[in-house]
Amino acid sequence: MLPRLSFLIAFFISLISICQGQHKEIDAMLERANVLRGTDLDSSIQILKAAEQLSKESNYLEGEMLSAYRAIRQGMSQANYKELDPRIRKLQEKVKGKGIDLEKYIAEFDFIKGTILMSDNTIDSAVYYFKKSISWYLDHDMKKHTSSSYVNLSKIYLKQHNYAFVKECVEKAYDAMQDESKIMKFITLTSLTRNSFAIGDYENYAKYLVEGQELSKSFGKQRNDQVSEHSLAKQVFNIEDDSLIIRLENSIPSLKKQVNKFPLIITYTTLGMAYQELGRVEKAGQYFEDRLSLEKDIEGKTLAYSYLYENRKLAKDDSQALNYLERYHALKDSVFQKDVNQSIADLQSQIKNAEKDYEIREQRKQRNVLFSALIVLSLFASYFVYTLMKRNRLNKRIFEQKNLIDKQKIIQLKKENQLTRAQALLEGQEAERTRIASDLHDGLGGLLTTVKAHYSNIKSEVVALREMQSSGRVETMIDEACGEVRRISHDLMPNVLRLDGLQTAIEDLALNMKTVHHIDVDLEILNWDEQIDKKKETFIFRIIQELSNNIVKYANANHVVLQLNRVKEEIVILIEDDGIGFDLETALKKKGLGLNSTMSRVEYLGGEIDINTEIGNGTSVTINIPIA
Amino acid sequence: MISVIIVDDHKLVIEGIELMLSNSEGIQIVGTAANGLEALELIHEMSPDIILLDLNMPVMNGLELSKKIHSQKLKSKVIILSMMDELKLIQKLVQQGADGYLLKNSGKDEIVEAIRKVYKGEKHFDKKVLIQLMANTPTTKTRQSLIPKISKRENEILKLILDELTSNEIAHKLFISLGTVETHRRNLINKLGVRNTAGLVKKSIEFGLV
Repeated sequence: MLPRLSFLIAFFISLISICQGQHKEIDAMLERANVLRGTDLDSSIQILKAAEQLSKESNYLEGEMLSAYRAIRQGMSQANYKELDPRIRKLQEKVKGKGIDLEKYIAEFDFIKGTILMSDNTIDSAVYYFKKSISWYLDHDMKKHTSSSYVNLSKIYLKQHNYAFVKECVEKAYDAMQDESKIMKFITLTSLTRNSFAIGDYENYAKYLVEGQELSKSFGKQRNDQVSEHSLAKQVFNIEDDSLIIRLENSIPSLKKQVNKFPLIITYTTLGMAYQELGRVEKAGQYFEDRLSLEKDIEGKTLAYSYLYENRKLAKDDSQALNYLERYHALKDSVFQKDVNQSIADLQSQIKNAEKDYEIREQRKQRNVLFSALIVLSLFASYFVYTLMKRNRLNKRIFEQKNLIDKQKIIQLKKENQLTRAQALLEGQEAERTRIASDLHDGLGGLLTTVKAHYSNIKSEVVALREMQSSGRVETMIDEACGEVRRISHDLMPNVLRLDGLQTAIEDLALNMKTVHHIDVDLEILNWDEQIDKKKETFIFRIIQELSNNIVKYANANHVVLQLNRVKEEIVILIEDDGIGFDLETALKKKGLGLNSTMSRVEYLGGEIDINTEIGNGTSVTINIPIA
Repeated sequence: MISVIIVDDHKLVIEGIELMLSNSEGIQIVGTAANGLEALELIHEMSPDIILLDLNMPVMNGLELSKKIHSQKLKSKVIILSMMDELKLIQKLVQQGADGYLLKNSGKDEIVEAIRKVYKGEKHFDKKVLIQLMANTPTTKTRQSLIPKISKRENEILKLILDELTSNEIAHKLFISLGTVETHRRNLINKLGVRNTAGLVKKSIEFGLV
């Protein structure tokens, strides 16, 4: 009896310990899944599902709920509501009446249901579940769990343009999130900032923005460069929104009233970027200036100068750009100097400490202390030298840049001068060619036709003439003359271009490359629905003609891609071959290659050209031409 | 009797052809016109069997007129008589339903032969033109892929964008200006029909471009 009893006791004890062991194992699985969530979502969900199964088997309800909840939440984005709903209902049934700690899952699952329904656009039901979840939490004094539901509700109302409700939900979410963790707070604040901005509630918008920024500072070094400012703007503003600029400008008056200038700074900068994107560089510059006038600390000013420098560069206002660049470097320098002073002070105090140590331990470790002081001193010296070198380099760079800009200015002036002359020349040339071509073709060609007609008539009348040997020769000569006239006039101005526009002319060009020169041509003409200005057509044709002539003459290519793409207000030309390529610099110096005239034609049309070539590796030329 | 009208903006040429056809049996010139518009009126009035048509003319050129004749389903047949020998143009005319194509230096016999053949419902092309046409049908193949061809440079830039380089870094790496990088980026966005760089990345992965 006794052994049996003891055996039973041992069995129960081991059972309990197994269960507890399993609990631990499940907790460990949950932990593991949590770690994996960021990098490998699928595995994370798999582990959670296994944990759920294990919890079920060992009757560990809390573990089951937690793993099921996390698995569903993590897989939410690809979830199907109809499949998921019965499962969630079952889980909710299970915890009913099992105490608040477990019953709260009912509310959590309601939140999940709401979120999935929201992304399914089943708005009414989504609102119902969010409200249900909120009311459970409020009934049980767990306000902090309601903020996510309120955020989602505000998103829904925003879509429905129900701005009063949006504001209410935003404020409630803000109130609820106060006890949340820093990260949650930051995420919530971002949503609140965005929504407040969207409904034009600029006061709250500014408040949340400032709070979010201060919070983000506490995460560590994140701000103080253009990139993070940019990404902040991306999170808060809907960049795709066409009315963004108007909204931003509307927000300015109420932002001006704020004590903290950060929202205003962000707004000015975003406006500047937006205008710059639209090509309204001057307007953009004004906003960057406005921003500069608000900046108090050195970091902000430095950033403002860098924006202004880029803006002026875009505006081709070289002297002003240089001015900003210098100021930028000067400020950077002073920040740098501050850092240096700080580290020198640090080093000095280190030395002092070392000296103290030296005094204290003089008798015992004379050599060691001397040695460490020496190290500190040499560190100091090398740091000093390093600093000097860096400053020197910086000065040199500014000087070089200044020189470069001056040089560029002179080159540009020269170029502009050349350009006006070249333009006049080019235009005259095309007009002249057209005239000569039509004279030749219509005039001389017509005359020859008539001569031949008359001649063959005479020939048929006069028997003696028909029998003369030279008769055949005369006809051949007339034919040759006709062919010659055709060739010359085509070279001068292709008839197809005159008759049927650019597309057919290019198609004929490609066909010609194929049939006459046996080069495989891949021709793509995209979005070509309406005709463009005749004069432009001629120029574009000349460009393509010249480039394909080059390929035929020099490239030794087997395959050519010729692409004309018309997008919005520009034409994009791509000519690419698999030939022998060339050295661009040498080619540009040589005059006869036709590259120079191509480039001046592109310049004349206000376009851009990019020649990408390498000896032995083909040539790829892209040309963008505006057609306003 | 085959009725013919001649359409050409040069009086000399019309005179020459009239002269050539004056002694030909069974062929009668019933009218002449100096451009496509005049000719169209004349065709409606006379409905000739054959139209000898020049291409390069003011007001309405021969290409446009032949298109009109075809689309209005007029019964007159068209023989092009032109100085031009651009293959693409001829292909286009044949597609539009021209029944013959002669070069302007054709002799009397050839013109007469062409008129008689076309009248009977056959086609007639200048020998030189015919050889080219036969050697080159079907016409230039146009690529039929889902997306336009991506250039070498665009490919380079796409790769660097995927490597998360900024435009400035790309410019430095490829020794081109920042503006050029931005232009290529814009071209890529247009070519792939996306709205921004994120879309670019997505599409390029989707189509396995890099």
